[in-house]
Amino acid sequence: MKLNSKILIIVPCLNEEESIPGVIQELRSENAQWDIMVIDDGSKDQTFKVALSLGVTVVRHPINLGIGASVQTGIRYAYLNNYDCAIQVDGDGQHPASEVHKVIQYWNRTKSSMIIGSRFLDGKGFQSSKIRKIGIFFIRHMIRFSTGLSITDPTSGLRLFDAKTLLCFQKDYPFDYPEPVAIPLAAHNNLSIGEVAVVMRPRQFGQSSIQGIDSIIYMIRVCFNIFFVRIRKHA
Amino acid sequence: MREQSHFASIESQIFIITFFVVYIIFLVRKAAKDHLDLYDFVMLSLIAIIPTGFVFLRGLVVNVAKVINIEFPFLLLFSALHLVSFIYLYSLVVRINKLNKKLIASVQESALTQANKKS
Repeated sequence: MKLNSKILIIVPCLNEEESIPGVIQELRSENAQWDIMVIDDGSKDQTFKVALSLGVTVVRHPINLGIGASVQTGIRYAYLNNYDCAIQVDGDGQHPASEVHKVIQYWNRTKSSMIIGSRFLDGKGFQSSKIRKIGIFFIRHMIRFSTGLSITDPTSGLRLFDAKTLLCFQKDYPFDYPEPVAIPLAAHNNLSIGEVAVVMRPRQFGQSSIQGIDSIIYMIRVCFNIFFVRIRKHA
Repeated sequence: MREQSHFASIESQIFIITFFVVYIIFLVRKAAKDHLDLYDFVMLSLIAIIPTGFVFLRGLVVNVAKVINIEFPFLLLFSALHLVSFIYLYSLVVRINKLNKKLIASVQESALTQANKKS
């Protein structure tokens, strides 16, 4: 690891009061040097108070803006405070802190602008449900068709953004379906994208917001958005 | 005349003019209360102005229908209404998207400012 790298861990949260203490403690015990920022996206529970009590930087959206806007708030903070890179880690405890290290090591080796932690490269750990895997398969091929890139886990929420990506995404980041749509957006801006094998866990608490019929609607809308990135005028 | 049969009866004309008057009064009152800006007022008024014009400007409608070779002049009425609705809907969607982006940017800005103050 670079000795002088300034790293920010962005943890977007929505109603994660139960899981957030574990996530923060795990990140701290992994590396006490990382700056951690929790973005509470208008939670109805005690997420904000719980996060504040943990002594990390907490940003609170007074209303729910969605995951894309939450991550962009973190990206803006990282950009404005001259971080070398920012790493998005889900607040539901799916991403073990040890895997954040793998992403950083990969960044130090390759200097890719955006790095995605993929649970499918090694096939170890939690792999997602069959329905979701089908959806991911389609999205993967849509991205390949649209950009020529082969990304095995386009919906992964464990990702690293370097300074170039922070500059780009603080101006323009997809609010809807940000994880898969950010890939063609990064490609459109000539940012290099890498993938590293990571192990994930199932959610520790709560439920995913995308379930049942929503999964199908999600997939259709993601596919439209992936192609829409190509024709959109970007900031 | 053949074209005459396509136009509204006296009962329909009374109905359309009544609708026009009531609707325009409603819009004027809303505009006076500052619920509508000038663009909204004009676009929404067209929903009443177009059918009224269609009924009371028969000659013009028949001539336009002849020029563009439409046998059934009512098509002009519905096309015009459809066009106005489309333009208005489009401008609304654009305005909503712009407002949404501004809202998100200002919420982010104020959240970051508050976080910076605390730290």
